[in-house]
Amino acid sequence: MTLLAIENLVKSFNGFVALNNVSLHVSQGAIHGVIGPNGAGKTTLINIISGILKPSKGRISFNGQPIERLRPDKIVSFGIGRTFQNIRLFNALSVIENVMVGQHCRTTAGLVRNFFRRPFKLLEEENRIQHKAKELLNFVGLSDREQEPARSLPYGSQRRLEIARALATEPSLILLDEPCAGMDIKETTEMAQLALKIRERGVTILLIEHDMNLVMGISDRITVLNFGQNIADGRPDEIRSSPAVIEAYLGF
Amino acid sequence: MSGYTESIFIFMGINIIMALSLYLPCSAGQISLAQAGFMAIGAYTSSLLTRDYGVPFYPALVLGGLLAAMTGVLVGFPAIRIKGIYLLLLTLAFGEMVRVFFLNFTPAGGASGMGGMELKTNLVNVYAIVGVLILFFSRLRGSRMGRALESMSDDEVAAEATGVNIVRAKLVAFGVGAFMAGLGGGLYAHYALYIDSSKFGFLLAVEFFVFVVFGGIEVFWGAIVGSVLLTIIPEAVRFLKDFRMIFFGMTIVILMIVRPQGLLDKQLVDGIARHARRLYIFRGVS
Amino acid sequence: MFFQQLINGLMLGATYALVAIGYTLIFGILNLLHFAHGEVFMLGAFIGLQLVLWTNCSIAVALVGAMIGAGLLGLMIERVSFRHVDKRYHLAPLISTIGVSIILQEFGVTIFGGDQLSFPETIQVVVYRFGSIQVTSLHLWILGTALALMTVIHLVIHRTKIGIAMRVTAENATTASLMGINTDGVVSITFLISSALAGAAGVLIGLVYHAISPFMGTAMVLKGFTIMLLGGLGNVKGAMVGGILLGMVEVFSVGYLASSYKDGFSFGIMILILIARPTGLFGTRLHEE
Repeated sequence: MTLLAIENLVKSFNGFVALNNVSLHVSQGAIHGVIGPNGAGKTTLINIISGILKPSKGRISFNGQPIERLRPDKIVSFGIGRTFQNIRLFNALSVIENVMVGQHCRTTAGLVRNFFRRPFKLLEEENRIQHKAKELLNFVGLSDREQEPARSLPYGSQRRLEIARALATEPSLILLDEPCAGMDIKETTEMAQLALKIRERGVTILLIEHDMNLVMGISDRITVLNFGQNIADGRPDEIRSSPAVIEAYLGF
Repeated sequence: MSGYTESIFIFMGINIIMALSLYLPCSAGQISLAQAGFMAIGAYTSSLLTRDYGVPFYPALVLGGLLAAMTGVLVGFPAIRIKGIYLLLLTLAFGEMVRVFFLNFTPAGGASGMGGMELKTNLVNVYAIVGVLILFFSRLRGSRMGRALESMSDDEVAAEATGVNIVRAKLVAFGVGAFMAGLGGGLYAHYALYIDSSKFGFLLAVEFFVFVVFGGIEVFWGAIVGSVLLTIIPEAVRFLKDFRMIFFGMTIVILMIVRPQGLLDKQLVDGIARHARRLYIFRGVS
Repeated sequence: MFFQQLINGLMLGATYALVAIGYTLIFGILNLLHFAHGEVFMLGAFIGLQLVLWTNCSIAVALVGAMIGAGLLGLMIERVSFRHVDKRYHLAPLISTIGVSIILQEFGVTIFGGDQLSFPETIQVVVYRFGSIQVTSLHLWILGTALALMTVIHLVIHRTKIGIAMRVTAENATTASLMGINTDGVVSITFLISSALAGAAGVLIGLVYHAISPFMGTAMVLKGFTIMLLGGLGNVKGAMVGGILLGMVEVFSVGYLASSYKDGFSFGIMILILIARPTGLFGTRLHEE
């Protein structure tokens, strides 16, 4: 079943065409990789899906619903979470608070309800938020650093924290934007295992990555972008032997 | 308590309320120089209601606050996608437009100002409101909305991409902040017993801004401490006569050089809280 | 009547432009709203006045004296209250300049008293008539000086090495210093130039209105911001045009509308610009993060 359908997406910035007629289908439960040389338009694609940018032309539907004109937070509430290529954590907040922000769109306590709660007792909803956040920190392996400020985490842990935060929004689809940038082999392998665990939870993954081994290793399906165009789409073995892909990456 | 001392404490209380009204949008990453304008709306509205329409004080105060809040939401709309210095200038311009409006609004006295209000403000109601606000802000910290505001102020794009409804949060912050400012205005009007639009200009808005940043913009206690100190200092150094304000200005400059985050920051407040808790527990044990 | 207002507006606007150039230069290089700039403008006017009163010199000498005095004041402000503020805290430098403005304004009131003072008549006033328009040599002198200063600044910024250094630093301070530009020096020069212009403007405004007051600085702050916004933040040409425009708008609105609405105009303009075209008439070279 198609979870995310992108049809004929075009994005131009003042004449520069970043995405040219890109179409893409992500199946539920899959790990769908997106690869391509630098500047191919991968991050632009993610930014459009998550609502930070609006497309110039084309349609995106999620679970049958059109989402291309929606605000980012609305898209999150529909079930799409994301991480960022250059990590964007809430540095002033603690590790667990970062994850708890992810639960914002799934909860409702506003200023008034919070003001009138019983003294020295947290709202029931707040307890649930904390519980969920702890569970997710455990899932990504950061339980022991709950109260530390997010900015004090080492690089690899920050990436995992961002993932925990995205998972806190209870997504059906998570967009991972180059989660392994700057990682060594060991960390990359751990990240791959984490991705598989995420899939086991029932979350579909759209993975943008440079690391070919990682993408080939865990993706069910791969889309290849070059100069803003979809030049190949298929299973890893099909992509590996595709002449178009070889030309794009090796230049002949 | 002498009348003079009492007036200082009352003005201090009103300053605290105004500074907290500014702190709320600031905590969402939105610096507003419009609070003086909201204060004016609250002052004039509540005064017209009590003086000309016989409305009792407390309802009039709240109505003044509500009108200010509605205006706050109105200002909040264009402010949603505007940031940084542009937002500063937008709110500044808005505040000044309010001032010019009341300057020309003859039912409220126009340029000659408005008087004839009854003295209704006293230490009790001012500090009762301060107390309620302190309760509000301490409950906000560590709550869902509190986290949302902090996340927005930290990285708005990431907050929105994590599901925080930025638009609503900003409007709420602006509106509730404006409500508080309106209350402050109503309290001021019913103490000074005379208001005129020239007082509610951008200089006043800047003053509140200085209170908040001086005390520390990271935590709400900063707005309180800033207001207290910067209300007391000019009074305490009255003996310096003409150099009083020069001393005041120097205090501000020196603090910004020595401690640019303001007097209080998150670290300090958390540290104090931890120490206080430790003492409390220790006492309980022995 | 119309052309008379035009000349008046031009004159007033040109003086505003001189102050606005300072605001926008400092903003362009430091991303700072220099609140105390208005007070530098005010003190420049008073320095000029004092020179005339003490030494009975000509207005031209007073102007130069005011520029030097204001320039040095600006330099001192930069060195003492701005340089050592940690710029990583975005609001601290701004608040510091607010503190400075409080100090300077109080200083002005203390030394010069709270009342308006006027410049003695030292220029031979020759009146020229063109039909119904009356232009005095004073008008010409003011306008001429303002335009001359603006031309000089334009040349400095676009034709000299220092100007290039300033523009590069405004673009990207880190890159500039990596390229060997003494960014601290550039900052000091920017303050010097901006303040000198403001000092000149102070004297000129004093001549336009025949009076100066220790509170004229505060009135200037809002106008300066409006002009900066109108012309595009950091854009010097924009500040020049914007200043002249604002001067015209003010003169015409007083002439044709009630004067109490005059100020309302600048704010209405501000809000419209912010909503419709925040980059201003000529565009800002700054990029939002």
